Amino acid sequence: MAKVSLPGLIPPLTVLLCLGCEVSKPARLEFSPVVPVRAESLQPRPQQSSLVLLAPLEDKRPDPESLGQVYGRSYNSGEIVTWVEGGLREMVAQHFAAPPGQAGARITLRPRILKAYLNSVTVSRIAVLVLECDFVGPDGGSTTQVFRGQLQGLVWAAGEDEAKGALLRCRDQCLDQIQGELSKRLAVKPAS
Amino acid sequence: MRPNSAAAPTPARRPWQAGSVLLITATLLAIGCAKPTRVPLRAELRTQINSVKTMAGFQQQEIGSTINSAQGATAGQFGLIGAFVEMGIDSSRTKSAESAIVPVRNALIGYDPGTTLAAALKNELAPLAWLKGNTIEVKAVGDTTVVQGWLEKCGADVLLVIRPNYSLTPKFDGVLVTAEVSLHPRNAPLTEAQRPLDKLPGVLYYNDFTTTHTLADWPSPAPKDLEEAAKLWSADKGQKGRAVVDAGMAELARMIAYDLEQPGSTEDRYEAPAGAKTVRVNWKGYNQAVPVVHEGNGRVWARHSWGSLYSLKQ
Repeated sequence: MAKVSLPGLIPPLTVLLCLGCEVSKPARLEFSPVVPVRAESLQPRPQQSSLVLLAPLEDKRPDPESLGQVYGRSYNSGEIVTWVEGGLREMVAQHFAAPPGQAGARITLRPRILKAYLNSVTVSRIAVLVLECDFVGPDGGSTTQVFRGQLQGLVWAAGEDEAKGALLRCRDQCLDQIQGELSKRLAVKPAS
Repeated sequence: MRPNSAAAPTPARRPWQAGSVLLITATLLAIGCAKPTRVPLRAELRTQINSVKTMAGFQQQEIGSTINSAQGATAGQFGLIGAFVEMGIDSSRTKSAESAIVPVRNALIGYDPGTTLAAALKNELAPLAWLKGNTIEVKAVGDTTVVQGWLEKCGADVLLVIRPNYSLTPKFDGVLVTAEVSLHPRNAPLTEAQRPLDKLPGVLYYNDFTTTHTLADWPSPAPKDLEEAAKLWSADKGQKGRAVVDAGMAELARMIAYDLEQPGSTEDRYEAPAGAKTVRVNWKGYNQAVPVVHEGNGRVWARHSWGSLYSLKQ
């Protein structure tokens, strides 16, 4: 007969408890403490040129406040744009600094956030982040691509940290894809 | 059932098994005895309505996925272990569906079913003479807490709220469009006739709707897996997929316009007239014969005993 350890019983019990809870007030997700964005990464760095000029992130979500619901619990955040933009700036600064002697950006990246939401299907939580980016070359020619971070996982406690963690992983997936695309376009060898 | 089960020895029933049987029986009885969830709009109230505002609020940002849930599959026979297994199955099915649906979502980026719904509502609600001065607005919303604010600011006697949802079916062979629809009075004397509803302001009318629409040219034999099916939905930048969701939104608008005019009771369940035509409806794992109340456009509308309205292909 199959044995179930006590820790193994915690997730279903927690979910069952959460199902019984009614949370009417939307939980506001504060992203800064989870993913600290270095203040200097948000500032222009005149001393260091970059191969990528990052335009400000546009918010094109249908609802700029809500992040959706998991088990009837609503999540809001007005900070997600700053949080995603911070990640993009950090990624560009880390991986696309111009080599010494080379000046001027070779690509302008114009990102837009199209979707950011949480949802639940039976016992699973779905987190999605969709970014759309224009890659503008030095000649002004532009191509557009969509990048999707999507995560599915069991709802353990329907808590705020769980929701933030899921969106963090979606953001990382998007950043990895954008970094890969930029590396390809700039023929930059990805850092190992 | 095992062959020759009558001759087979019956094992002693353990107390927890008896408990499970009681729980299941009580649940089935509760479902069977439940009062209607539909709140029909009383005919005499229509004359008191001088202006109406319609708000449709989409909580989802993209097409959803659905699964055939395993919950209840073991019927409580294996207690917590069974529940744990069912959760694992559901989680696995959700993972498969969410992974397979990505190309469909990407193909539908930029598609807004709210535009179709707004146009369909405008057409279908226009003939209802008592919906005077109706203006329609579609919004993205986080949850139902916004409804109270909408009601206070709507500037009309009543606010018609539509909360639609659209998802691919578990086999990705169609789209499931559902909606909860409620009519809220803003001032007296209409507020005196309102009925309380969970998480929403008082209502003069409430019902929920379900309509299913299959993808045109669905192949036979069916695609071998969800990934293959997703290719059909995402082909040509999701043109066929958009058409199916649009058809669902248009059907939803027709059903709402029809149902707002239908009488009913908040106390007595909707019983099928003797000899009434029925269709089989799957609802949360229950497959039931439901009486047909309307036929047209190659579809049948069936009303469940608690008032919910379903639309299926004829």
